[in-house]
Amino acid sequence: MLKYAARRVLMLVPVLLGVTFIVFSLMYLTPSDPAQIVLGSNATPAAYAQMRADMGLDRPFLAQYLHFLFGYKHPEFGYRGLAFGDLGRSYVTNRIVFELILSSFPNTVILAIGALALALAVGVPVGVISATRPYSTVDMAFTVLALLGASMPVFWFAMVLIYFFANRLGMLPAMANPSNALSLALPIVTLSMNSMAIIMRMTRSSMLEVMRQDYIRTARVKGLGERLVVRKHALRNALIPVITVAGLQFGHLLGGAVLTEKIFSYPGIGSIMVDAIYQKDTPQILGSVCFVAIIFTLVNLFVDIMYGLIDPRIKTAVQSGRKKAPGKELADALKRLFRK
Amino acid sequence: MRSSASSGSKPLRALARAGRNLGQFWRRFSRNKLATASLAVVLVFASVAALADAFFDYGFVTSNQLDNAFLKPLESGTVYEGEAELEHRYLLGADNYGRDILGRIVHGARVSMVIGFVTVAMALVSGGALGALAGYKGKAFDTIIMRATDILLSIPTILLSIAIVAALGNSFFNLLIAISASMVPGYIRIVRASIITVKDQEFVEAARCIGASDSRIVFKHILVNIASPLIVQSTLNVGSSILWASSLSFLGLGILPPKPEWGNMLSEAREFIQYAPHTLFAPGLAIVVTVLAYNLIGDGLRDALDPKLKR
Amino acid sequence: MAAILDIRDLVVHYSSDRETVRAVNGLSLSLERGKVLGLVGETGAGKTTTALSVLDMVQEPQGKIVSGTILFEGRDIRALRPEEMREVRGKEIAMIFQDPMTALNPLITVGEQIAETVRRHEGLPREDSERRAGEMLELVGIPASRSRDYPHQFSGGMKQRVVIAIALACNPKLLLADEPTTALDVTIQAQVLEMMSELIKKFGTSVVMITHDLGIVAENCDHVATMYAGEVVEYGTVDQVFGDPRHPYTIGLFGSLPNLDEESDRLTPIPGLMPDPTDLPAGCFFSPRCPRATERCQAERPSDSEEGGHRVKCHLFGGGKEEGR
Ligand SMILES: Nc1ncnc2c1ncn2[C@@H]1O[C@H](COP(=O)(O)OP(=O)(O)O)[C@@H](O)[C@H]1O
Ligand SMILES: [Mg+2]
Repeated sequence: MLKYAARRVLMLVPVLLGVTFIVFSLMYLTPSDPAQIVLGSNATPAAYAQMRADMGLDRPFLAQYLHFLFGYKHPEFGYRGLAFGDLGRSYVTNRIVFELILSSFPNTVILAIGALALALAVGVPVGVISATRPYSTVDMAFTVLALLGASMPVFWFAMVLIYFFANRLGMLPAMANPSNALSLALPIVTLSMNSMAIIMRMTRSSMLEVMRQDYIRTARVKGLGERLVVRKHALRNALIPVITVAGLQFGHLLGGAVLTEKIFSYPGIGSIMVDAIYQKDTPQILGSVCFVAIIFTLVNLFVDIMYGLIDPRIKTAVQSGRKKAPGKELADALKRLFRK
Repeated sequence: MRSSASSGSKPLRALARAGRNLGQFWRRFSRNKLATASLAVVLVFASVAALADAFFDYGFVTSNQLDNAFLKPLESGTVYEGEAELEHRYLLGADNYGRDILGRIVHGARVSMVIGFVTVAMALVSGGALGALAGYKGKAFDTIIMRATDILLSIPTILLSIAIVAALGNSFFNLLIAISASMVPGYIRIVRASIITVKDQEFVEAARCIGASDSRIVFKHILVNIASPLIVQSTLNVGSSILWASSLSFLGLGILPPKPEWGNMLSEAREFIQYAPHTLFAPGLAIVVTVLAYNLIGDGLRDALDPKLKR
Repeated sequence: MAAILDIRDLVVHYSSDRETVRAVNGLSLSLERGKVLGLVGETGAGKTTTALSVLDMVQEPQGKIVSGTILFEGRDIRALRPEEMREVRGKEIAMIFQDPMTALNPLITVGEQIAETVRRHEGLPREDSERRAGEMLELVGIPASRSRDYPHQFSGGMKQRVVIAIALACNPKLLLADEPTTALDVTIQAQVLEMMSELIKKFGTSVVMITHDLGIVAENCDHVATMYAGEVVEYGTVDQVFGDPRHPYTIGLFGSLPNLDEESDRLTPIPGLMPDPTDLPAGCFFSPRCPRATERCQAERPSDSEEGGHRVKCHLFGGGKEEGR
């Protein structure tokens, strides 16, 4: 397992390189011209050419990519590169790119945690209820609701919520702010809708699969009550894939909250990215998209490792006979991971 | 003579078998009432979309009639046609520029259907080809393609789409590329996984033994076996493609007003939620109903195509 | 002597919206206290379904006991309320399934899987139930120290030992053992079987031993029932049935066995296939494969004829007396 984790971490390197390369190439193709943005539209051709040279924009594509990764030396426009967590300053706001990212990211994390918690709190029990009465009216109703949740455009759902809860009832604010807990209600509900639907469906199918297993029959033959069979014998097994999916959802929530954050004018990293794209603020776009992609990849890796720790079948391979508390196990694994 | 007779009856028999299978498939599919109803919805929407021009003049739904701004549903307004002043009733009301919301939804339906089908076709062809290459050739092809897929999948879909439109510029074609790019990794995975499982199965081995060539094996045996997951996935993808298109347009990255598109209609409605909620509900419901219908059809197809499933 | 288990005219169907599988068709059986009954028959004969019926565990919603009575110690199992039935399961009647690889919950330690039965039925506190689990493991030949291990850490034979330990943990009166060794390696089969028979003798458990293996029946059972297409076609003591097999199907089963004492005397196939349980033939279900079938066999279902406890369901036996019934 540790070997596996180590290999996964190593595999991260080419993936991240690829991600940064794709994002960088896309930005390179963008018709926007940073030199023009900095100078404004009425600069002399000579000043413009000088600015392009200063910013390193006259260099070949690959050289620019290497600058982006490992730094670019210039008294005004220099930076240490993505590898060192520095992309200099935004062309538009003149703020340090990663400062803005790091100050907005925790806001996004708050939303994502709230949304995932809500999605699990509703999705898992409803999925279990559906699975214990497959093809009943209740199950059908939940199935349609889940599909409805997955079919609804996030931005529209958000606006409908705003209309009813903010405009009509005046109960909740239409704009969200991390310092006002109440204002987080609507964005969290909005954001969780999709994950809730996915977790519900996943729980249902996983439970149905588990309930067919022989060991469930064994548990019933022991005379255990149906609730104990479901809770102790079925749910644990059924939750393993659900937890994986929830973890992956968390990654999506961190990176995909773009629409929700935009609609509720919430100062998260999604808003930052969209604003940067509108303003053609290349360093800010590059920085935030790469940051999100890295986080996303790390979350996925973490989910994989967790998966191994939850399932004793995989866990044993790590323990190789010795017994340890699962918490210590995780801590050790992480320690070793980060020592590499 | 004999050989021609037998070759003549072979396609006939195959046709009869296909007909039987289709009949059986339809019986299973139609048992699912929701899926059947959804199919009806999609067919109605598609016909209305195809005949959009017959119902609503495109020029009319894209030009401003500021006098009629925010007309409520069924309220009547005035339309100028040359010198004549005509009274006009708007079934779903008018938007902030006084344009007929129903007419814009109908024309928007045409855009959505086109986007849905074209993006899925693009993704299916490119993703399918890459997946087949990875699964069938294996080795270096497999490694490279799957690594690239991993990379694509580690950029959140919406960001990838936004970045592509931002990079390539705001055009209809670029929107198609952005949306289909987000679906390609899914197809690569499905096709590759199916091919790898099918590849080693006995009947393919048998086909190899009797000397069928590589490409024949791929097309005849494997394609038949991976058809169902692809059909299901594609149906679901048409729904998500429509959803994505509206999301990107909502962000101002897809189809821009005055061209009618469900997402940009909602984007315009956003500012007036409080005064004119009717501009918000109808386009949103159009998206929900359409996407839901494709999802339900996809579910129905999955059940009807799964040979193991009895219910 | 009172029978611990008495099944009369049991009929069980599995129905989907397309077809009805007639898995058990008027099966009658009885088992005396402390005895071991061997239930033999081909795959699909309805053996597992019969055992599940005794526990009222035929899989809903498709499976359904259509008619018949099942008396356990004189009590009608089918009349019990669900919570009463749960008291019976695991405590009075236990069952061992065929495949030990899938019968244990992969996420729960084997000790806990034994202990929870004990807690459920004897209300013991956790510590006592865990101690009992350890004792049960020792009984089936596994060190008690392994009770904290997970099923995947055991081999197939060891897993089946754990399954047996679970089944016997509350000292049930009746054990339904559904092909307990079929899934195991041949070398391990004998060990597990021997361990099991010892425990059965020690506890005085009555057993329905479902098996493919006539050798197992000869060595371990008191009575035998041969099952075909959901019916018991022949029933008697091991001596009666092995010494004087009467039903053509039973004879077919023995057909290739020159000597009962010989090892590895497994069932050898009889020409033809079991009838499709969704489309059973008229008359005797065995008639399409029977070398001695007559026109009457194809038209009329035979009824039981008995002689000194040796029961046969065949037109060749009983003659006019049976027809009059
Ligand atoms: N859950 C089920 N659904 C439908 N048919 C079943 C089910 N379980 C068993 N059957 C059918 O019932 C018949 C008897 O099966 P079973 O009792 O398992 O026989 P045996 O244990 O003798 O092999 C078989 O034809 C089998 O296909
Ligand atoms: Mg069986």
